[in-house]
Amino acid sequence: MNKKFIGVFLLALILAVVAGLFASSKPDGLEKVAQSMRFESKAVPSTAPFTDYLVKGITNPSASTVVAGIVGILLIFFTFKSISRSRHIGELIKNLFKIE
Amino acid sequence: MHIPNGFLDPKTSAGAAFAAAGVLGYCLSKVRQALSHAVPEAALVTAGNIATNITKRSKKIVSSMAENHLMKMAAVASLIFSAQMFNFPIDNGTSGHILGGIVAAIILGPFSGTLAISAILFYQSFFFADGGLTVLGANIFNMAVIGTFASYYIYYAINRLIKSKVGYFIGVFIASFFSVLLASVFCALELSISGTIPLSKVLPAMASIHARIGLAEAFLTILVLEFLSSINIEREGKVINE
Repeated sequence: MNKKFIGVFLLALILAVVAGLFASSKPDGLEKVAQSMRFESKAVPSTAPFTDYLVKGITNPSASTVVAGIVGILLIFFTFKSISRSRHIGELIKNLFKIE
Repeated sequence: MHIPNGFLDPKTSAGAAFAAAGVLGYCLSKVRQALSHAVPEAALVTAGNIATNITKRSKKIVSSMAENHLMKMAAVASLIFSAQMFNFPIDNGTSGHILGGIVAAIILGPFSGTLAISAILFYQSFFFADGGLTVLGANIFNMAVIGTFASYYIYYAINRLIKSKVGYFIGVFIASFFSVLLASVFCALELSISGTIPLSKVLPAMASIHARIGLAEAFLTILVLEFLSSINIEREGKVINE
């Protein structure tokens, strides 16, 4: 039952690799508007562990983005996965009361 | 369309954050309600006190249906995060990426979908500096509340109006187009309320770029939904939707 979800998770990882290799680095819609209307300079750069999807220390930009992307996917996947960790309790109830 | 720090003033950021928090709270309570009903109630009837204890300890998320739904959220949110990294060129010098709001809202239901997109925005802001921390509320408001939650009901209304496979496709197409467009309109509104740039200038510029990104979003949304349905990941049933 969960196999297809693992499949989608793996697909997300593959897509992160593809994105790292081929994604356009041109400014996005909002950045472009900010540039052409000259309010771009109001942006205050924020600090984060993987700013702009790059890992410090990996100099190759594609590889750096791939690694950052994979970290992001793992974070998101296990956030939701960890909420469902009560599996054994569900199993216990099912076995105890013969539900389903 | 992730707004960086500095583009919005504190009152606009705070206002958007309050509005977003209200909707997220509502979504959270709906999802919790939907996920905690199936098994515990049945178990309570048969088991009395013992089941009550088990339910309390497991914070009410106990059914295999709930576990399945959370795995689905984990998988779909991962996929959308990854897809958002993929910037495609829109024209010379501009790029866009999929938002995924309608994919999330249809596959996970509007409440879980909104939470999933919000979680993605949260991580993008905290770990990747994609969208400023002080404007996280505004980004969640634009892309999760408007681009996911509100836009889902465009799809819902069209689907009610035209009850066929064609209606479904039209609904998905129009809703995903407007999810991006409306999110950009709200982004423009926030920028002008903050006094960053007059609305008369920023609204046409934001809308025209994001209409093009929205068109790409519409085609990609249909593609992704068809792909997910081909591997038996279907639209969420009634329990999570209403």
